[in-house]
Amino acid sequence: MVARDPHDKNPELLVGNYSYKRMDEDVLSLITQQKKHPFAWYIFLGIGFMITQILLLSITWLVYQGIGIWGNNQPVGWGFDIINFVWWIGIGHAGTLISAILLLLRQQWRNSINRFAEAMTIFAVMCAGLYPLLHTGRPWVAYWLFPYPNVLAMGPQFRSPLIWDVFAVTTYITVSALFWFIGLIPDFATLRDRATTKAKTVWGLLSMGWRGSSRHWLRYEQAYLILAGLSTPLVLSVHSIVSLDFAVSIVPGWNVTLFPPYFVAGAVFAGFAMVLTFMIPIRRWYKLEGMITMRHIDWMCKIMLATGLIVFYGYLMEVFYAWYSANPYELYMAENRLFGPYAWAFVALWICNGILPLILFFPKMRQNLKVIWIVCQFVSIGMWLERFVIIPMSLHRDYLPSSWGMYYPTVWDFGMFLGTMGFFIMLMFLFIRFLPIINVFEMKELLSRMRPGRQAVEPEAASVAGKGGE
Amino acid sequence: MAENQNKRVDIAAAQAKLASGSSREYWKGLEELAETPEFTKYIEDEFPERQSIVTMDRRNLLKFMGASLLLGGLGGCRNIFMPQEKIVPYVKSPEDQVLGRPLYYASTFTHQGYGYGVVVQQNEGRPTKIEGNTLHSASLGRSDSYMQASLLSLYDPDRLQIVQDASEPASWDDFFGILRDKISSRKEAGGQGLAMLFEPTSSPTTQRMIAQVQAKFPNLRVFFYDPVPRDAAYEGTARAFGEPMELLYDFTLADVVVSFDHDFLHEGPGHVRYTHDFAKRRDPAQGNLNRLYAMECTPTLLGAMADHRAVCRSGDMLSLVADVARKLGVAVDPSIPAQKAVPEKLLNAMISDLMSARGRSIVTVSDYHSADVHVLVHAINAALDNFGATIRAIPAVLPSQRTSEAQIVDLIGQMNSGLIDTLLIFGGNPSYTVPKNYGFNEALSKVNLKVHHTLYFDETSERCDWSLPASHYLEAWGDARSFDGQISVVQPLIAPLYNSESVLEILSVFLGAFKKSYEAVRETWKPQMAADFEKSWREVLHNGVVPNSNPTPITPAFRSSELMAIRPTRSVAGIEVNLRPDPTIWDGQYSNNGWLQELPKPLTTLTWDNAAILSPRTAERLGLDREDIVEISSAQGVIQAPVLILPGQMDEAITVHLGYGRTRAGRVGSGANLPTTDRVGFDASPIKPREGKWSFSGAGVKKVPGRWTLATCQEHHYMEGRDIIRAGTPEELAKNPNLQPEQKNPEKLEKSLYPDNIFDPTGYNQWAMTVDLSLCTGCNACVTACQAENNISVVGKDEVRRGREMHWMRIDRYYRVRHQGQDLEAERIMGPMGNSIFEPNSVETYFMPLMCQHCEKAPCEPVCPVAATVHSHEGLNQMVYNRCVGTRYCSNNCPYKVRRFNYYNYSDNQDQFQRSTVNGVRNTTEDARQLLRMVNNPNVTVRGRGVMEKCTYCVQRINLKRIEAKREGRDLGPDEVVTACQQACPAGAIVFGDMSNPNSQVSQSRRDPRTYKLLQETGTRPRTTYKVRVLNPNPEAGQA
Repeated sequence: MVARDPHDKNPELLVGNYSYKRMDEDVLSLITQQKKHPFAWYIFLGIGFMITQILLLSITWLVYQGIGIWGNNQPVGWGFDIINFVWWIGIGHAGTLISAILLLLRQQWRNSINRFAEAMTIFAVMCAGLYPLLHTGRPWVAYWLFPYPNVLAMGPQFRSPLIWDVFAVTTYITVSALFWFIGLIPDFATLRDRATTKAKTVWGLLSMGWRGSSRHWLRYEQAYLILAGLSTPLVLSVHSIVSLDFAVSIVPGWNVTLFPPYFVAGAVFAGFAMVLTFMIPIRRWYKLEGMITMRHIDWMCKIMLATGLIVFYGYLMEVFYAWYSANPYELYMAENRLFGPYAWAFVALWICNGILPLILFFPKMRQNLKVIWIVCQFVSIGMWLERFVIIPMSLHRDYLPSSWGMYYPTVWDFGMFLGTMGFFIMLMFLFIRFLPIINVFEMKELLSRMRPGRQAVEPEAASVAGKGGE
Repeated sequence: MAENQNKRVDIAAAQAKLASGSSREYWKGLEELAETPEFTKYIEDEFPERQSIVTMDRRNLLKFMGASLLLGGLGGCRNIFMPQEKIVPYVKSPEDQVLGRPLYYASTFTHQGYGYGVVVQQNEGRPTKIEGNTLHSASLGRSDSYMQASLLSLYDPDRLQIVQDASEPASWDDFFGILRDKISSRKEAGGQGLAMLFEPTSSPTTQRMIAQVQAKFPNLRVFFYDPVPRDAAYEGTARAFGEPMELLYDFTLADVVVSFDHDFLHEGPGHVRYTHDFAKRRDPAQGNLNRLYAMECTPTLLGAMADHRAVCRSGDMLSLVADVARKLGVAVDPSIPAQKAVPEKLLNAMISDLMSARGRSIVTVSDYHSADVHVLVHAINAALDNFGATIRAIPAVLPSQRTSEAQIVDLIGQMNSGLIDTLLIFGGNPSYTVPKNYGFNEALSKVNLKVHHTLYFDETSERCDWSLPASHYLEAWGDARSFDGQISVVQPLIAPLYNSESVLEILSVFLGAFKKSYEAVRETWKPQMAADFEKSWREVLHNGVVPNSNPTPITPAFRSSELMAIRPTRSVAGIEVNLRPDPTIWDGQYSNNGWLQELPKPLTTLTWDNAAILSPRTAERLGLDREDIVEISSAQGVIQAPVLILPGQMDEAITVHLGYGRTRAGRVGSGANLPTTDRVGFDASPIKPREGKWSFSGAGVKKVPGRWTLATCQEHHYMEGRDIIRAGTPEELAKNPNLQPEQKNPEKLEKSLYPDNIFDPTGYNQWAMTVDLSLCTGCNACVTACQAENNISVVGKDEVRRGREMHWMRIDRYYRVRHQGQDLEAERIMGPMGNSIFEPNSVETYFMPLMCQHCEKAPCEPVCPVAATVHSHEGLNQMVYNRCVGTRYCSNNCPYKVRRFNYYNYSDNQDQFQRSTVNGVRNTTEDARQLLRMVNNPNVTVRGRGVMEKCTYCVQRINLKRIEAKREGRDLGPDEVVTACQQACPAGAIVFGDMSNPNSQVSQSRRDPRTYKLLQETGTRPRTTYKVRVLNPNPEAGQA
């Protein structure tokens, strides 16, 4: 059976003979039954867990020894620490975009992927948040960046973009977590209702008394919409503010007004690449191809393509304004990117982010999961390189040639980066195991809406929480 | 309480009281008026609600007792968590000591035997800073890096701390017992078999006691040895004037100065004074500019200062000097060939300059060239009538240094032939410094009793039977003479930290009873001073110098008969190797001094290593790159060295510095046996030619596999066409006084949307600094002074290599290459393609001291998230260490990159003592840290890990002076505050002060039309301004 979106001429948002019951079973049984998880789940959780130990080790050693274990130096005060911060924050953006903006735009296709993307947002921001904290020389006083009442009568310095960052990121994680949790409540209730074990108490607590009454639904819809409204500016603001860390400064290569939109586009670009990176194998392992269809993937590829083009335009503009400014420092910055000691990074960046994603112009390629997956890897690498090009490559040769230097990351830089990746993987696979990875009730709603003859409800498939059960 | 009141107010009773009139006149409340017994009790009891022991039940009582006992006992656990400390106040306060206020004492630092007067700051009994003594002619209140860093050696935990008999601890009495036995057994023979080896000394007291010892033991042999001797200079003057002499130059009078490889601004006796004098003639505001020609074998600071610089092989120096002499009309042996090194046009211009500056010129040559060259130079000066005008002479200050080379050869011969039974080595480290092929160590092993009196247990101590700890000059009395013969007193500021004695104290044993150095020095001066000895003595101690002790300079008469004795040298083809003492650790005696090890060597900015310095073209020809390892062989030996490419170095010539490759220097300097990533230099002495020569030709150079990591502080050497250092001729400056580029309109550049002053600056001093690039010689004295003043950490080779050196100020060095009239500085010419244009004569070197610019609109300030760097009303860009969380954003946003970050806990000096750590594991040794803490300036915060730091304009000095002014109820004077760098600078290139006062030096300096602001286009409005470097080239000389 093919459910069709009335707004789309060629929609395939639900492929297969779905009933409410089957939806519940397909998604929720992943939580209730360990045996539903393939071998890959054990492998990846194990890998994630082990790499997380590297993270813990790296953090311990860092706090014990100091920033000196990293490759940062004078003039390159920021290296992997801020590159990774920006990279992780960027990855989170797909989730917010999908949940908030696509919700407001009434894009039905978001239903099956928003939960997953939002989880990624939260985990990515958790990884990102580690860096600003730990990159400080004295992390034990990093709380001074928060405005809290104190006997010193000292507050943070609000002119500093780092303070804007603190607010942007804390708001972001708060709103994202709330949004995620509220969206989970009806599914928690379904789990509670279907639970046969002691886990029922946990689901019961998490579902916060959800009974699926019309009043609940009304309030839920209102709250969800308000949060979506709140999140929408966040999609734009968080990465804009992160970009201001650079744009506000006077470092050639940082002081660029183009940065905010270009960073936001880059973030969405990277975020979708990461969503696809995980989603492509997982939909296969868990046989969710029916709910996360090629149609979804096609659309996500299109968003990647669009944002990728914006990013590429940004790269071209950076070179253009270096020339147009006639500023010798800016000119040298462009020259250094193209011919300097790190030119390889710049070239690789253009290939990864500018050239390779163009393959997604071909509809056929957007249907080829292998190609998409590989492109996504390149985009992830490319977006990391973009931050490498912007941060250490601008710093390592700025105004006075006497203080020019090189930046070489150390094993601890890599350890920490790898560690956050492991942490992220571990959290993702724990999420797959313990929470519904697809928004079941929204899928049911979709099912009900797309079904020809809406009255024909299958009573046995209706769950208390499911929307179709009205 | 409220409850009680409500319950117990007895209105009736109160009314009754009021009615009866027996109540108090004033009452606070009705309760008081009523005066119920409950209320009275309530008022009287301090804690009315407390439990009474009487009302408590037995169980609770026991519980409380137990808890109290337990809590009381916890107080005793303090020792578990915290170290026990005893605080003992002064029982008897030292004279003049006010805690928190420094005291200053005059003393004398000696280097190569020559004295440099110093004034030492002492805080609570610890010497903490060394400055020049304004009354001393060799320093005039200025200093150099060695002088500044000698302080750190005092507190060096690696110093020899106890008397050692072989490796066993012993006592001075043990040693003196053995020494007395030796003396008495040898007395009959007049001291036959006894020998002493000294470092050159100008000390009248030491010389007197040595003479007395020799008088008492006529057969006792005394030798002097310095690895950097003055043989050639003294031999030259002896041949030219009849006796060894010390030439005194007056650079303030010289219009034309020609230096043949003589870096008188950085080396040799009197260099501090000479820099000071020379600078007087480089500031167009102060008088006529002089013109400096430098003909040198390897790039020096002097060459960088020169208006014309040309390179010349050491082997060709004789013919070059002879040619100059010939052209000036001196009769020279015609068999000496004409020179080919220096372009004829340049040489002719120089000759005509010299001719027109008769009696107003100076021609000098360094000690690294033979006595023949010296005689020729004297002949030139005589021909130019310079003697008596710009050059005068006094008798040699270190006459023993005429034959340093012969003496060490003699000593080795005598040791080998068994003539020496007992050898006392006072100071020095001959086992290391005497070139290996002399066989000093083998000869030494034939001596029965070998004694080394030394600051460190070093390579020589290792081979001696006894090692005796020597006192640092700040621990014992002494005296010294300067380059011009002025005598000053070495005054200790601290009791010996270890069980050490000075040379004078050991010598006294030869003369009878042990005598403290204080007695010995006074004994020398008592007969020579005025009747009221105590009074004059106190005056000498106060001033540091003995009045009227300079010998009257004479005009030496040149004996032209010597000229004909000069024969041409045999020139040998092939690569020439020049050896030189190291510019920061000298002959190795400062190896264990972290400040000097980490001080970027001038020109190369290399730290922690020496290197084989090659020109770009030669490196290209030999297929060598930076950090490659080469094997250099001579007739004497073979060494392996890392390659460092230095523009301006002569082609087909290698320069190597002595002083490195120590095996027993201490935790800082030893590192000859480490892997090449951590190694601390190589010993260059195996290839040092004999007979006191400093160069040889025909060296074998071979690349060997491997890489040798070098840590340089500056890796990029070209200004990239940027407006950084401005330099121009007087003619150019007449057109555009500060060489402001046309497209840079200062008013437009400084336009800002924001208000100019956030604070109202009126009524506050406004601090500012100027740096005159015309005067700066790049000598690094300021860098060391800043390090000493501001408790700046030493970070180690690996950290320097990572770009984490902590110096608050640095000397940037840039090259400019003119090729066929075209300025190539914008080209990146270090690549293999560009090397061919590297004509060494066309390389110009420029220096720029750079410290925090104290921008009025500082980019670092708005980006700090916690307001740890803020602006003061006085225009200081302040760094609040204890607020800093260490985001490093300020440093990223600083266009001058003058901020320094504590990546590790550098301040505990761990790295200084644990350089070769396993994979970054950082160990500390508590004793070393304790000792090194003593060197810290108590008025400057010691920065811990994770905080940013930078130049503060010596805010502690500003505050000290401000407090003084306040106490005296006056305003701070315009030039009262002197920063450490300013005080140290021998050239006076740095001026600091209050720019709100139009009469202050800094205001005047800022008004100089040569003033410009660095990176003005960034809108930072720096408070530190620079002055254009003035070049004074001879238009006839033409570009190379």
